[in-house]
Amino acid sequence: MTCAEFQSVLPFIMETGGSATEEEHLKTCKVCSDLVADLRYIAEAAKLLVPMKEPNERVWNEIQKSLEREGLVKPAGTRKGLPSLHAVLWILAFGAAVQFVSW
Amino acid sequence: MELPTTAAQNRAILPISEMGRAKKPTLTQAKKNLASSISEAEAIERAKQGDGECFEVLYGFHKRRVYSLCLRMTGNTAEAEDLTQEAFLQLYRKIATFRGESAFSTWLHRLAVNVVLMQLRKKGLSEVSLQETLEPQEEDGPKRDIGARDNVLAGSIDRVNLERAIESLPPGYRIIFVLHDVEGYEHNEIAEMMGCSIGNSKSQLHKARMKLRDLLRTSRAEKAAKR
Repeated sequence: MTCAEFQSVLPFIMETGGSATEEEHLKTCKVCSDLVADLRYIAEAAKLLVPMKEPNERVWNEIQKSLEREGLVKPAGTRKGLPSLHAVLWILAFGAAVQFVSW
Repeated sequence: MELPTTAAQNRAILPISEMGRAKKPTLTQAKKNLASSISEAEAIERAKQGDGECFEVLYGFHKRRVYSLCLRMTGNTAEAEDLTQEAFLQLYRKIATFRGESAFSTWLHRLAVNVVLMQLRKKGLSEVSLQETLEPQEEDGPKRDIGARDNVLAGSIDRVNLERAIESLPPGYRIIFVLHDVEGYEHNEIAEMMGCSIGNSKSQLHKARMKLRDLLRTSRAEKAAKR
């Protein structure tokens, strides 16, 4: 088997492994064995790449603006939601005061 | 609409705590407290109800991974930022359709890949790059002497070199390489997303790895010459 023949089927060898003839060529040919080693190394190194970079803060600012423009969220400070703990305490205090006065 | 589940991904997923760890503070203290006290599942449920703050928490958890994907696929910072923005806007619009049949990160990741591919289709890049690979190029042919010159690459390249080499790949090669080797998608999934045959996906991947090998060897040789 020549190097050209071996390399023409290399994508399949990388996927599924080679036949006996191809394995034999690999054992005896430094050019092709180096090539296969490099391609395997690249594939393995790629698996180890993790997300390292973070988007600029403006990305979130733009997202927020778009959501507000589309009316999907309320602009900051005008959101309707559950009353804060502070507000609940005031309501309870006011209620207690009203009850105390009426009693 | 529930996006299809992918068979890949989990190996590349960082823990939530890692994903949310920002280099620069981007959240107010109150939001940081919310982010640390709320689980992802809870944030998803509350975001489904329209809670903007919980959506921001989800953004904090996943922004790095989505942005890295966009950056690796496009090789361009401005474009990656625009696509990250678009992916999260689509997430907000579609989050109510997430039913938990796959992991949220997998679902979001697939959504982001679709956003990037749609953008590339609009630009006509995928057609050009697919055509590139159908036409045999001199550089794709067997190289009988390349291994004889140097040793193998193993141990001589680091993450930065690899990232740079991926960035300088032609778009068609880069997309397939990132989807398969970095992100862990299978050829059948890539073929479906890219609208090409499985054979084409395999062929492009092989050519991408060969091209990367050339780039990395050239870079190594240049560095050695400078010393």
